[in-house]
Amino acid sequence: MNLISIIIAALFTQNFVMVKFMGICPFLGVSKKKETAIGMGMAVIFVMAISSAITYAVNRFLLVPFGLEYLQTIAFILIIAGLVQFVEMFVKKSMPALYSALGIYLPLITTNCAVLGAALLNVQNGYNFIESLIFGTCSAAGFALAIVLFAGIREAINEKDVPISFRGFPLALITAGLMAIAFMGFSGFTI
Amino acid sequence: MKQKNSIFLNGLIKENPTFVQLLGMCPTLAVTTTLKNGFGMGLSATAVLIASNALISLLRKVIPQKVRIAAYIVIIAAFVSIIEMCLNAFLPSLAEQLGIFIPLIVVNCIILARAESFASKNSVGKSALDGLSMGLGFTVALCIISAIREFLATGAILEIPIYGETIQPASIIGMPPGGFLVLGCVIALINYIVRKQKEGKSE
Amino acid sequence: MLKKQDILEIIKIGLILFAITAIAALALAAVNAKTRPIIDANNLEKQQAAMRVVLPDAENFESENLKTDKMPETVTAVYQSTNHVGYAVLVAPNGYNGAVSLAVGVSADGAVTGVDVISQSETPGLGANCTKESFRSQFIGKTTDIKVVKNGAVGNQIDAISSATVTSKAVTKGVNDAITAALLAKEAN
Repeated sequence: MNLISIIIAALFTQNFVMVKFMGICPFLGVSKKKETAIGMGMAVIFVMAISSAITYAVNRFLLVPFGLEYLQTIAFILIIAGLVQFVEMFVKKSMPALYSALGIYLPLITTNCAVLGAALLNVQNGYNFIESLIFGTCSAAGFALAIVLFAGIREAINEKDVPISFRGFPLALITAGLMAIAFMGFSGFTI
Repeated sequence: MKQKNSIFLNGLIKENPTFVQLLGMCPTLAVTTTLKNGFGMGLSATAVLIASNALISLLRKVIPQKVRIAAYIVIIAAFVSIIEMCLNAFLPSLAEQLGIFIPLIVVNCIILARAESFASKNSVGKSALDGLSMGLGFTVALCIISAIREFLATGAILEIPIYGETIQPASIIGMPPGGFLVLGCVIALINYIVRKQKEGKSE
Repeated sequence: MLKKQDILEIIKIGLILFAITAIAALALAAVNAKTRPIIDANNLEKQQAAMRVVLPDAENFESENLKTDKMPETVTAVYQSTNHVGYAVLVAPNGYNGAVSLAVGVSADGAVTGVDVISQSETPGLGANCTKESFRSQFIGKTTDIKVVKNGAVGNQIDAISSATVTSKAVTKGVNDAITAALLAKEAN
């Protein structure tokens, strides 16, 4: 029951992009086309699932036993940066097809604050291993959902005649605002 | 002197990290619910920017090219953690409001971008000045957005009521959608002003 | 095959990176040693002050935390007053933007004597209004199973903060859980 409520919260009611404002840079930066948005979404799910598991283990078995909680931020970001490098090399060697699809997004993920944010929130919320893994993966899926929907809308409105000052970025923000209102419809929905 | 002036104005106006370069969007949207929060976030990021820019510039000949990004991240994360601990100790109510976005300053793209594009190539003094200028540019942007949002959403500025009781404030501006809408409108307005100025000059 | 030169290069890079990380960790340890006691003292003082506000008749509080596994999950601590007028219960229900940390005073006969917000990060102008006296004082005198209504509260109901149902429900859940915890603590004594 608890797991289901974590999933619903991560995907909809506490969506990382639309409610918590995490991962806004890639959300706005790589959402001009649906294909790139899907690629980015997949890459983020992949990295966040692994990083949630590893940061949980490092925090639980290294930082907490030695009273080093104050090194959390620095340890987590190093793990994430290292992980992204490693995943990139691994995917390049063993899964060239996947690499050609996700490769260019991987380096961008280190500075996606959703990844570090999920790791820190796992600790803050006191999640156990399974909960951390589910929370990380579903938050990333929530990010993917938001960015793919957003890219779809942006493709459709790109062609339209809008006031010059609003072209490009401002209109994208307004669109995101309207989407956020739609996501607010989920708020208060709990199991 | 002239060069120093231009570095300073660069971050504040011409290359304003938020309005022109569109970097560091997460805190810009998330913590700008009240002017106090926006200002606090801006100053925290500025402190990190100055310190990390100066130190990275100082170490620019020592840090090996191949692992420079990792080294930058360690330095930035260390400064962020120090700021976080100091805020928790001396300004606990602000630390509470900014919450998870203090540790997330680490992944604020402005800081890494300045380390890579400025501090790794310039002297310590210039890099610190660049950090100050970019940081203040970020702070000014956050203050503008948070002042608008606080005014519209709660009818107050710095928690001093201005109209509150007589008119129902538009509380949606204080909620997540409001962040997107206000930032979009502010950037559109800036685009408009810049375009009018250019038209004025070419005539 | 790696040449000897390459290996030396890798070791050198590794050592430099290690040195930077080690210095960073040491600096953090030093700052942590300075700030940790202040942070702990701040938190304790805040908590003590809130406990005194919500249970004004208490002379002082026992230092023993009476929390047991049977109590609701949101409860973090239960302290009995030294003169046995009731309990101060610390709860942290989940609001709209994360945990809302509350102190709830419960008299020996199970009625709420006061509610104070220790920390919260709810939306300013909406959920953040849960810190207002007019909202918090509604709970005083209520007993178990308090319900939230939009307006026109009667009996065991309280009025929600306008447009902040999630926060209102969270605070109410915290208060209900606190009453449950206080009654359990009393039984155990």
